[in-house]
Amino acid sequence: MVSTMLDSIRTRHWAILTFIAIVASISTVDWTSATHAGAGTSIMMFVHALVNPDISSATLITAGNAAWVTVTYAVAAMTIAIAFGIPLGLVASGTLLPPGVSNTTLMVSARAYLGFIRSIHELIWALLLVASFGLSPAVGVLAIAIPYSGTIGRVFAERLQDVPTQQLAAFQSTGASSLQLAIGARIPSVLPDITSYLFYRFECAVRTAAVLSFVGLGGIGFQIHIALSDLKFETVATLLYTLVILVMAIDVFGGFIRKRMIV
Amino acid sequence: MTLESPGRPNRTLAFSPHLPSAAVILIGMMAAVLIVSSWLYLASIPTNGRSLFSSDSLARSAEFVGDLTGSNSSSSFWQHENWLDFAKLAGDTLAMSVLAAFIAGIAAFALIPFAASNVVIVSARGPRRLFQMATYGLTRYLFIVTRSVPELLWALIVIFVFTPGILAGALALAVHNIGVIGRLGADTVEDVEQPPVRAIRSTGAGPFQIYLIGILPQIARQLLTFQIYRWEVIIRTTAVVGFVAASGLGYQLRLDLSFFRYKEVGQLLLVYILIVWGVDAISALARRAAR
Repeated sequence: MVSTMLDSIRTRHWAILTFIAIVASISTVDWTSATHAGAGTSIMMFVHALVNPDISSATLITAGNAAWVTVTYAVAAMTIAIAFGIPLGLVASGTLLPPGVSNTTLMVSARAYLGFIRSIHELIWALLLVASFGLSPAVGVLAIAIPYSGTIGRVFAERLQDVPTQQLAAFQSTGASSLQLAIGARIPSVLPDITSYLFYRFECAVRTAAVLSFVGLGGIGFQIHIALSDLKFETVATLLYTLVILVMAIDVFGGFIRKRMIV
Repeated sequence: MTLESPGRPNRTLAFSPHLPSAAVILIGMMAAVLIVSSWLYLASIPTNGRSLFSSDSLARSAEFVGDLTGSNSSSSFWQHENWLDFAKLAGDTLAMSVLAAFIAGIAAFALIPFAASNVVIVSARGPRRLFQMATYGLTRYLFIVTRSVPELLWALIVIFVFTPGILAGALALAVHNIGVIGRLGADTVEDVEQPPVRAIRSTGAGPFQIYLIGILPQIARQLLTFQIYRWEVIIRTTAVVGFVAASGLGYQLRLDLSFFRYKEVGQLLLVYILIVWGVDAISALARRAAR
């Protein structure tokens, strides 16, 4: 297989292009002043802190509160993102209606919309929304929900289209309409996969919510910001581990549900 | 497997109607409680911002959109000096994303065998097995920690060591992506087809020989495709990391927003969306060639 890959001229072209891109990007770096003086000490302090996180009760309470705030933003954003992303994904899949001009128009416009809202990063949405509406929790929730509904919609649409035709054949032979086919066969067959994808997205939403401090909202990122400014690396380590525990918990829980849903 | 979710590949999925009902009810209730309490908590936070859907707020945001698109006043879209500046910034952003994908790819590729239990844990018992298990655990721990912390928080930490710039930004992006690529890669290695592995083992090959000859060729394309896909994710985030790493489009965007230069913000956003779409298109082509 490797030899056939090398034999193919197109692959070789890609390899050359990649090589050029990497060399060009390395050459843009100013290597003479890449690190601060005393970089070694900073690294040692940080590694030391990772091994000895601050586990005093005050820090743990701060971390717990920050984790709660971060989770609330992620949960609220996911509810909106699912509420808008799933219906939009259904339309964008083009599987609801029989093939035709109106179906294609709906499909293309839903796709263009989903593509646009998800190409802007959550934090840029946050900055724009704050500049437009002022700082409020609703802005934080929307900043995550808008691009996430775009990604969820796109993935849902792709899954619905990728359902193998063999799985649909039995249903089609009964003379079912496109809509009946979607409800009876397509949606149920993508449900386990979409559920586990939504858990993955929730995990991403927690990470994103953690960095909403950059626009001035609270949470784990905000606390990390403060602790870093105070050079309290042990506290930073505790907060980082809080985030790690959150992400791991979602991962394990999502895996558990996925296992239950797969035959 | 979807490229976006690091789930395990090659599994046929089908909906099971036999969900244990007690577990379903419990999970549903937990989810409901979490959703309701999250919304209640967020609603209880006092805000000094404007209400989101008041007429005042809508008029203000309409004005903001007008500023962004330059339709309110003379537009900076026609000033070619701006375009030249922004093209250079876009170049820096692209360089940062390529460097990040490169560093993350190399580091993850080197670490993946140590995080795959079927490659690294081979001795049946004794101190060697303990050592192998420790290696496996440590690499998995490294992946979990790097993956759980978002790029921007890594950027805050990285700039304690590296001077803000393309390298610092690329490293912050790379650290997070090592965890993402490494975890998916190691899971893929653990799920690999066994017959070729057994055949090579029967020749007396060691674990890393088995990995190189029996496992890697099976998964190479999948890993490559995922690596290319990650570049798409990285380019979206690069602008944001630029806020902290003080380079590229992100830094300029932050400056312009702070100085209320909304016309330039609109222009920068246009450049940003164009390079995101450009990278998506290149990545789609490259993934087709790699498949």
